[in-house]
Amino acid sequence: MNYAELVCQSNFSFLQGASHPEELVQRAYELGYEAIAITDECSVSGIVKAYAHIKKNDLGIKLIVGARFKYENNIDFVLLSPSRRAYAELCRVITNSRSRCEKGKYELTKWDLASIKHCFVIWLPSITLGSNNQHARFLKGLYGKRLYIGISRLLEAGENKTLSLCHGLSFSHGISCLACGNILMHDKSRLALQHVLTAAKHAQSVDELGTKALSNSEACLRPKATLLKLFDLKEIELTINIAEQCTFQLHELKYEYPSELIPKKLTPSQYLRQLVERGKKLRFKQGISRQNELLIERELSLIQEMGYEHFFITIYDIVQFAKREDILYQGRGSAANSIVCYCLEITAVHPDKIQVLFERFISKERKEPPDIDVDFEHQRREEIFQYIYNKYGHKHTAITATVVTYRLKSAIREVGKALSMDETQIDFFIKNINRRDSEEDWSTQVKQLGLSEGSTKAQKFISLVNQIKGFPRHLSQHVGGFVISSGPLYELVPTENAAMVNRTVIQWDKDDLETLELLKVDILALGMLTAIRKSFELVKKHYGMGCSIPMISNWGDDPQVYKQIQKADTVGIFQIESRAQMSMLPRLKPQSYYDLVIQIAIVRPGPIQGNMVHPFLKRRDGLEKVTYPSKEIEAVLSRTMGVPIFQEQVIKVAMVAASFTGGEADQLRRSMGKWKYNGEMEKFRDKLILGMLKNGYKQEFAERIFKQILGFGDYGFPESHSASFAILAYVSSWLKHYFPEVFYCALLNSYPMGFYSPSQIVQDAQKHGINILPPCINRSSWDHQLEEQKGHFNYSLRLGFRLIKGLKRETAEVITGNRSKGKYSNVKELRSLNINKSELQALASANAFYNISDNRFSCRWELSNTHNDFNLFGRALDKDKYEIQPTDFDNLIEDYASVGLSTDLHPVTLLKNANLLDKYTPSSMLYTKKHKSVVTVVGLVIGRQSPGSAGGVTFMTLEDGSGNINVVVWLNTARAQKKAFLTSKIVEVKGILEKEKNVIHVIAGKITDLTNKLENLEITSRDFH
Amino acid sequence: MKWLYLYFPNLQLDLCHETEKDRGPFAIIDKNLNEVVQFNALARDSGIKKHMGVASSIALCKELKVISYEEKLEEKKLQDIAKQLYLVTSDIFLDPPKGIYIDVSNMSKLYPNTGKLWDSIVETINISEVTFQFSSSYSPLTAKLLAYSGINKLLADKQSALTYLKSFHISSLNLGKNTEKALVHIGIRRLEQLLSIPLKDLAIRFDIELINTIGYLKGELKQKLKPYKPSCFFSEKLELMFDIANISLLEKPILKLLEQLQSFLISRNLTTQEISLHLETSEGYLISVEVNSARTQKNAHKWLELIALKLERIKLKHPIRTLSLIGEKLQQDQFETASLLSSSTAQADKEDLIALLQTKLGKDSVWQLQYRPEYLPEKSTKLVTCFNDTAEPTFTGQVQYSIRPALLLLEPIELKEQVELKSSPERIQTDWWDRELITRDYFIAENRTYQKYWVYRQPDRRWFLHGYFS
Repeated sequence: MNYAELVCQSNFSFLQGASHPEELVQRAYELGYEAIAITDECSVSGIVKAYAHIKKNDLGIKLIVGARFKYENNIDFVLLSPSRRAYAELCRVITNSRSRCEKGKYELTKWDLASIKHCFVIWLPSITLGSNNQHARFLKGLYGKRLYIGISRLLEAGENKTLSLCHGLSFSHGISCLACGNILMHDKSRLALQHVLTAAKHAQSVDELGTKALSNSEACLRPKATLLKLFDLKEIELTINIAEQCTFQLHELKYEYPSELIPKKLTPSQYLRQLVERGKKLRFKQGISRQNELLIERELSLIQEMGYEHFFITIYDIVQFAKREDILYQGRGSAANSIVCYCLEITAVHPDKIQVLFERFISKERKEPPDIDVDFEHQRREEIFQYIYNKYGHKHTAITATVVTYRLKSAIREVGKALSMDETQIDFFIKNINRRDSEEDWSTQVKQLGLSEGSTKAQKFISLVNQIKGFPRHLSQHVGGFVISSGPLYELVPTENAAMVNRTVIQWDKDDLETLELLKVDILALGMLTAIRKSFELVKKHYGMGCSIPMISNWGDDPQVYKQIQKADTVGIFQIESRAQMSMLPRLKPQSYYDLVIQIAIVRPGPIQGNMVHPFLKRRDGLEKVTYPSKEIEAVLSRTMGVPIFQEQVIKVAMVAASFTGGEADQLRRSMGKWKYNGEMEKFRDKLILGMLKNGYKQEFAERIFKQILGFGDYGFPESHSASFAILAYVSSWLKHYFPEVFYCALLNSYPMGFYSPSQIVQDAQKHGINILPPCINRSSWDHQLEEQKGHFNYSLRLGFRLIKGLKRETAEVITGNRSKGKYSNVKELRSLNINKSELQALASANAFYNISDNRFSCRWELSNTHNDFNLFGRALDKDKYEIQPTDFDNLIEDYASVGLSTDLHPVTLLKNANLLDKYTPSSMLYTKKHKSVVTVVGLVIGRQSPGSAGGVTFMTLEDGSGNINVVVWLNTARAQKKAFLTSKIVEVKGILEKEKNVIHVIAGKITDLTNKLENLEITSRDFH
Repeated sequence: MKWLYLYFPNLQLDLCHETEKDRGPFAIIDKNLNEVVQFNALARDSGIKKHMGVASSIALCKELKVISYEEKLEEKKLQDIAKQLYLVTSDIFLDPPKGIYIDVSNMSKLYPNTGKLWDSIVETINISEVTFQFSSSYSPLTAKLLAYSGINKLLADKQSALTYLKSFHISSLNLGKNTEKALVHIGIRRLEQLLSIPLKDLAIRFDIELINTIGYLKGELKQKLKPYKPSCFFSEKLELMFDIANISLLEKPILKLLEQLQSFLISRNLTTQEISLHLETSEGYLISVEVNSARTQKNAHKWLELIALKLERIKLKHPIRTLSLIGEKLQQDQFETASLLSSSTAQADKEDLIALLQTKLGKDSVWQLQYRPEYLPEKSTKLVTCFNDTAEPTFTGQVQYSIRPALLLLEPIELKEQVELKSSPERIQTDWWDRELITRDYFIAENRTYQKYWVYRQPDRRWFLHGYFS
């Protein structure tokens, strides 16, 4: 007997289905089913995962694409797509019904039902819904022979009544009955999890659900022998009959790029060649080398062979738009750093500077779509989005989805609530589980936190949390992955509304697109590009010099710029500004572009977890010999002195050393990011190690390579991305070196971005001798700007209104607009502009009235007088009337509260001036102290970080007005002095100073909380980000 | 000194059981604000502070035990304290949930020495075993501020009160975030600064609330307070002319008391469901009888019927000398408008019957069945006392079509006879969260005498009989 399951929901029917699509197809295959349909509620989100699983494991089972719907809460039915046309119809119905509702919901109309002309319809009548005869007539009239009644035998109460209803309807309306499982689980062991999901849906606990829960576990895939006992043979045979008619398979989906980009008389290939030829002249003005000519030819023929011309042309078109609109961009990714992309102006990475081989990424064998991400200025990316929408239309364009899944914390919360655990206890678990603790898994940790070990409930809790982890919760919007098609997109994949207005997302994520070999264009946002573009504008305005990224990078490596980088003077510099990067710079001492590429990739949790940083440093410093286990490995690792640093190198090592095929290497790459969740990597372990041993490598080397691959999984950085980032790191360093005031001004104008707060950027600017001027009602504009000041050789940086909390841009424009009539001479003039009170207050807080009013207090006193509202021509304001004067302390508090920084005083300086501090060493004097000497430092806590790679250590960053101090707090110190460590805003740390090549750390011994000395200071610390 | 303020900062903590509080660090958290509001000494030693977030508190002290703050509990306790205080002083005003104002000007006329009045107040509060702070001052608000600050002094004159008050931060006035911020923004942080500014200058800049508050501070404006009124209840005592040893003879004097109750209730448009009768014997023993009615009742004879049922069960060892009747839980009388066609009489009869049964058998001995939407048959009905007023749940979904036997056995019994199965199975798998998963396949079965059984089979193939069909 053969059977096909035609009604089956996966966990992409959120809070209903309790099995992954992969589990469903796997189980159906094991049970010997002929076919299985995945029919999630108004969704095809799970289908590609099922398809990928079948393909990957070569399972002999047919996959049918379908979806389940409820019409007006009355008619419950499933649509199956027998053909490509039916599939397009299904996608259209889903798209239409989803487009009528907010995110996550759908609404079918009668018109939708009437427009279904090709799908098979399985109706699931229920005695509880009523009007079944009427519905039967309605549906039969619409679908005729394509309509079936689905009978399920779930051994529920009152099932015989439903059965006789179905048979009665079948008889009186001439509709055939077929067997179906109404599947929600692949196996009956998922019943508890299904109950937990139902509980989450109803916001109840499982013991409160009563009859809202499934009464038993029969909604799972059951052995054929059981089905034979429950159904008539005819009902079972009909499922096979239908499955046989469903010939549509997902691999039929072909992606067609919009053709309007290609001139009519040219083929895509000819047009791409034309564009490359044009670009060649632009990029290689001095003439192109023979080697590069050959490279172009090789790349072009590969692109033609794989049919990727449209993809390159589409990105070319987008970056050309950006270029026209003066929006800065930079391509990155494996295919981006090709000579073709260099000619198409997608990237500025000169092919001579980097040896990333193009074929390695567009591999014929692997059929992997090319990867090009394009970063745009973050403040202007929306313009690119609008360009794409306008050019191709909303019907042809949508954003890729991201599947938001249950992570440990949300899983604990959901299961805890369902099992009626005390909410305070759940919170306690969530807050105290250290996910980074690699030695103890979370279940051991919760037991230590007080979960009673022996109780059945505790065991169930742990098992359910493990089961629900990785379950999809909802679809969200990918950061910038666009799908563009020539025909309406809804014929390819359904789209649904995103949380953002006017945004639609497709129901598949990037892995799904990859599986189906569909291309997406990644339009990403990057704050540094905004800062660089703004810097270029300011350089042009104040120095009359035009700049561009390719121009600066083509000038070659400037030793002055690298000297600055080597000193770790990199606050605000792209990618190399974090404290980890900064502490590495003096050791690595980058001297060239490629050194920067390595620097960016090396200081990441991946290489650190993989234990690879130190060997590289040792080799670079000549402390360790550069050796290679074989010639093949040498070819791969020579540019990083034999130490694998980039993701590409690890993959390549697997290929050359362990004889992985291209396909296997691709699987390895895909598993790398996910190994923590599904343990897939273990499968590769033996293959990799045995393969390497067979090829004559040592066990230890093989083990090390495997460990590195695991380490790379989460964070591993590809060389192709690092190469693009290094350009931006260099350009931003160049700007900081030659035009520091321009750089700081542009950086502050690009907020929010980067690693540091405006306050820290301003302090760094002051350290570099930049004169900072406070916001001023008569001088500032919305943006920060450069101003000539008497007595200062360089431009001063005038802070803009954008820094003032609570002030709107429009208001700032009103103020600057009216200023053209002359300067403001009193507060009353500002009041006459109809600016709302809270904004005037915000300006007063920022002391923007400082040159027309005595101080903040008297200014506010004037502003708050409501009688003046009606007294425009009234008496002149008596400024002397208000007598309370702000102290330095008041001013400091207000500065921090309103603009987040103070241009004059630092809290620590203030405490020092008030003689409230014992003797301490300021940060700027720490370099005079000896290595291992005892020091006392005082500072404002501006960050506490507990990086994943640094076990048991937390870093505290202190700021004392003369600079930053890096404090290392060992776990035991933190534990022993928890109170001071966790809650203080200002601390005194006594500890041991450690110096290594200009990198200074203070290892904390005693931490004293000094916060009470500055109780009111509103400074938020960036805790544990 | 005119006004006294008593502040109870830790009422809920004081109410907690000693052992609970002293076992380890313990804190009460406000769930809405997600912060600590009260805590014991051990918690304080671990660094817990008031208004600290729950996460930080737990991070500081992992053993910290927390319970949530319940304002109602505190309000009730405050009422109790006021009730006790009412015995020693008048003019009490509640400031729930944590404070009490007392206007002592009238009482001080009665007490030649105010110290004596204060002593009796302290004595009364001490009975309740609660911590408190206090102060006295020339106006209610100032007394409150001083008490909150914890000075714990009775201030005799306005000047000394003002000396203290001037140093207070304006946040003590609870003016609301915006006003407070606006004041801080013009440099006003202490009450002294606030009071030094002419009222007219403030009036054109700030809202009326601030101006009123300043009026209360200066004692120039009268603050509206909520006077404490002891709750209204009925309590009458009847000294019998002679000792009565025969219980049936008590009915007449009881009726007299009940009639007094009836007229008390009617005149106030009140009614009640619960009264208590206290019989005092000549030896000074007290016999108390609690009587409940299923519906509200004021009729003296109806109450007598119920009391008679209770008295039947009492055997007097000593004669009775005094009777007292107390009705504490009184409620407004809602007139019932009976419709000609409604079944309210039947309902009333049912309620009377329940009342009778309850009086006769005891309140907790009368039960009724209620349905619950549960799969497990033994869980699908529940016994509830007749006073349980939760609505019966309605049935939806497939389960309403299930066939259930008329008679369900309390405990399933093992099936020991041959039966023939007459239906397809209904499978129930549930309750995994309490114990191991329960799996049962239910069938309708027939025995040799054609009696219909409801039986089930367990996965271990054992069969049970769970009910009989009619």
